[in-house]
Amino acid sequence: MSRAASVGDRLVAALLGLVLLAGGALVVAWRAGWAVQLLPAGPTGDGWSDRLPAPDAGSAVSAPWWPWACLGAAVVLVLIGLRWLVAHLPGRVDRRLRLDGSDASGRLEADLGTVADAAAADLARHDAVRSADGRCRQDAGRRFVDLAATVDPHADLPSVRAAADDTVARLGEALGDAAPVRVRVRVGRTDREPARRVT
Amino acid sequence: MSAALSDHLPTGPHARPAATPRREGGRVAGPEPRAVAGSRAVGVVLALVVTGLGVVAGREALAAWGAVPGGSWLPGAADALGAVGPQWWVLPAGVALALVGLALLLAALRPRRRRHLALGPDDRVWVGSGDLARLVRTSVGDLPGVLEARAGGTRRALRVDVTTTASATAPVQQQVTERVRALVADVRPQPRVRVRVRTGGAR
Repeated sequence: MSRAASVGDRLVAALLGLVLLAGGALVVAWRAGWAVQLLPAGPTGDGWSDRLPAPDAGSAVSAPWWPWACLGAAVVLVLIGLRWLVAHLPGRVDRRLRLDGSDASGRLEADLGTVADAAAADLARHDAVRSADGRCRQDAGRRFVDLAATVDPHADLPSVRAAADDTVARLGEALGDAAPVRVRVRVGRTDREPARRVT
Repeated sequence: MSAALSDHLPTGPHARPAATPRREGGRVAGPEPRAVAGSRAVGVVLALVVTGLGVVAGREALAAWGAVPGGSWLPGAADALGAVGPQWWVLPAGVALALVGLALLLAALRPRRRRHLALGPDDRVWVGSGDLARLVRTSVGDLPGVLEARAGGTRRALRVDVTTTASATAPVQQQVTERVRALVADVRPQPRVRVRVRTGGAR
């Protein structure tokens, strides 16, 4: 999920939250009779104290422009909705890391996904680690190598950390700062607990 | 370098990442693991609602052209809204509407939850609070005299409940506390440790 989609979600949630909060407060005020003085009278003159204001839909529906307006709104809403949904799917991360040897005659690139796999295999070799998984991921627009090490419930934390530091150091020697690394230590489950998702 | 890693990592004089200064040891850490934002679920639901509204608008257009049976839904919906008077349910509905708005506002403003603790002085190795609790539970469960151990909590506080076969709980409490403190000595932030020991039946 991109940073733009994340910001968009927060923005729309905040705007809709404010609208619903204000709407709910208005409905409560209307029901309690406090809003009579604040709101204008309805078109029939009996005011909003009796009935909620409703648009005169009959005349709009019979207008010749109505179906075209609906069609336009349908296309726009469906496109926006589907685009918004697609924005929540895991995006493709550009896994190519350009290396110094690139010039006009050709490019030298490393595939960070393969590097992550190799780093995970390296991490899994340690006695303290039961298994490991490596991926090239992106969070808030930042690309990084994400390693997840599963350890035994009886594992010794300093040994696990030493194993992780060892692999991270190897990656650092090869890639420097170009590929930030994160290692998550997971403890093998002894019972059926629900896993939590993190990005 | 191990065979597995050296097979895939770039090596040689030209194999340095371009346009980034090289620093030995990979000092740049990846982002801290955090839970998925609550606003993401809101975004998915709203995207579905917007798409659904688009479908309804499309149906309205087709109904106006007589392509679908049943006519337009809009006048009926407007009439239903206009029929809403000061009935008893309007007040709780208004309160519910405001509460949903407040929940959305909180979801939009609340930062993604942190559930992981850093292992060591730098922010590269992380362990989840649930995983740490599982380690603690297993480790404490191995202590002599411990019949059953439970552990849980957050990244700020760790709670350990122990059932022991010993009638005197104080030595067990001290033993368990020392074991837990040693286990979490290397994590940041340091969680508060609360150990409760009670005497249970024989194993």
